[in-house]
Amino acid sequence: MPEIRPDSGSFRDPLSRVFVGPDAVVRAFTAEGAKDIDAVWRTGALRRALDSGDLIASTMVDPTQVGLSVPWTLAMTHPRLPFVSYPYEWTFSMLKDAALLQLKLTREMLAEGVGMKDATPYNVQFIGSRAQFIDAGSFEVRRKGDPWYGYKQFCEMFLYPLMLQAHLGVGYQPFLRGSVNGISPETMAKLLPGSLRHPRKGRLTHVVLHAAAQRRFADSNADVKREVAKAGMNPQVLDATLKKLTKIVEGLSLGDTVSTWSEYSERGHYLESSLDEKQRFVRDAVASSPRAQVWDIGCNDGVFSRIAAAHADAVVAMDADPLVIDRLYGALKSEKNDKILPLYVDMSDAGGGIGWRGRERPGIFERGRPDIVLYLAVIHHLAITFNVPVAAQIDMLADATPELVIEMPHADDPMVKKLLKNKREGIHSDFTLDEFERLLTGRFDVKSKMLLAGGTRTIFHAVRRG
Amino acid sequence: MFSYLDAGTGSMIITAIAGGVAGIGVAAKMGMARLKSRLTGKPLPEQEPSAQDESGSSHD
Repeated sequence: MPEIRPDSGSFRDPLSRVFVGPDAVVRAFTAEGAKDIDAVWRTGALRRALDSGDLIASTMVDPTQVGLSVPWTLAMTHPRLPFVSYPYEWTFSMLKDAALLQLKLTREMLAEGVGMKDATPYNVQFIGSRAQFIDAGSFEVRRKGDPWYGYKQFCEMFLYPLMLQAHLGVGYQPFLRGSVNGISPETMAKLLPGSLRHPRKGRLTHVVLHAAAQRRFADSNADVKREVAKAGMNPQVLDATLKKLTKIVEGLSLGDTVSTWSEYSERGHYLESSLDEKQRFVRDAVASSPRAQVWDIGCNDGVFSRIAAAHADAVVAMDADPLVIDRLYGALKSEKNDKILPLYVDMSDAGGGIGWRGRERPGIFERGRPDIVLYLAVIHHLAITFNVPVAAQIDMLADATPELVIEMPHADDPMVKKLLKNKREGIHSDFTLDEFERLLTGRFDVKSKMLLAGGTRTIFHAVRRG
Repeated sequence: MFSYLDAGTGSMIITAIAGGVAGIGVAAKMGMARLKSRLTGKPLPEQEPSAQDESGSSHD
């Protein structure tokens, strides 16, 4: 029986727990938690969610079949995802789609007497560009008068971050990375003013009134909760709220914005026959071995991610420009691409866990092991603009991956010269092809290399030693 | 309460109000006047302010 170990992020719900094995994820339920499961899982809404793929594939098993016993009386297995990603790595459209999925499921379940215990983006994952709900433990039989338990969490982790971006143009990712619980109503009320010119739908109720109600009832006793339940928090009321929230979220958008990188390339789909030499080099390197997972760091428009995806099971496409990733996500989504997962990752500030003991939600290096990394047109930006020495980058790569395709611009490359303009003369005098090769071969063996057309860049395919 | 999540007392009230017209029914049952008085902090003429109402401040 394969060894399963408890997931670091699953400990808050006393009724169920997640375990991770090599090929599957197991969600175990206590007797109390299992009580509802039968009823919930017989509903048409849940069947539909499974069939449509809105809910992750789930198979009920006896806990003993997967090596579990007391206190677990019921278990469910799910397929493992190639790469677990977190909301602070998603761009606007991704968080928006996750929010709409959460609301849609909550409404559909509500209509059949099933409540959802929470509303957190950590219960949504992306398989490529497809959003999917993954927490089978979120469902419970609704008792008469039950409120929507997830409303506050929905505001803090979905609605407010989206509103921050849509109304103020402020990226929410640092907020979500800095606080595992999201943005509080009190904070949001201070951050988001009203606007006469662009009325902010939902602000008065979900931000202002919400913050006021929270303050007012902060020291309240259970009296109010019972009153609310007695008054009849009926499904119609909740459905109306959910419907309105759906309209609000649907109405939020990024607006027209152009970034430095979104104009970088107009490349669309590629044809195998028209690959240029760099693209062929990348293709040959990736195709030279079976690849379960490829990371494309600094993926930009994703052209190399697409090449890699043709020869790999899964690709994680990372870039430090959220607009570029948002665009890529849009393109992948319209193609229904479930192989390439686009993520907003700033390599100069990545890794490290957040949440309880800093381990609840681990950093990227602990969430996936690439078989090969593409590091194209990245090294000079990190070295020159962000002062991460080439040696440090090579160490990072050697720790992260057994195989590497890396593009090194020479000292006389136009982009290198442009980046050096902002720096003091001579401060990056060691940024040369020779020095790079010396450092690279300290950790990797070079399988092949090629001078790219233009003569100012060399691309390497390297394999880690030892 | 079966959920593990602290739904927030104030938040639960808002879920009803946020439902619009449907929510007003709930508020009416609860006593619309009483609800308003709680939220705005102005006591009703016939209501005796309790120690609970006067605390009002949030945790630090």
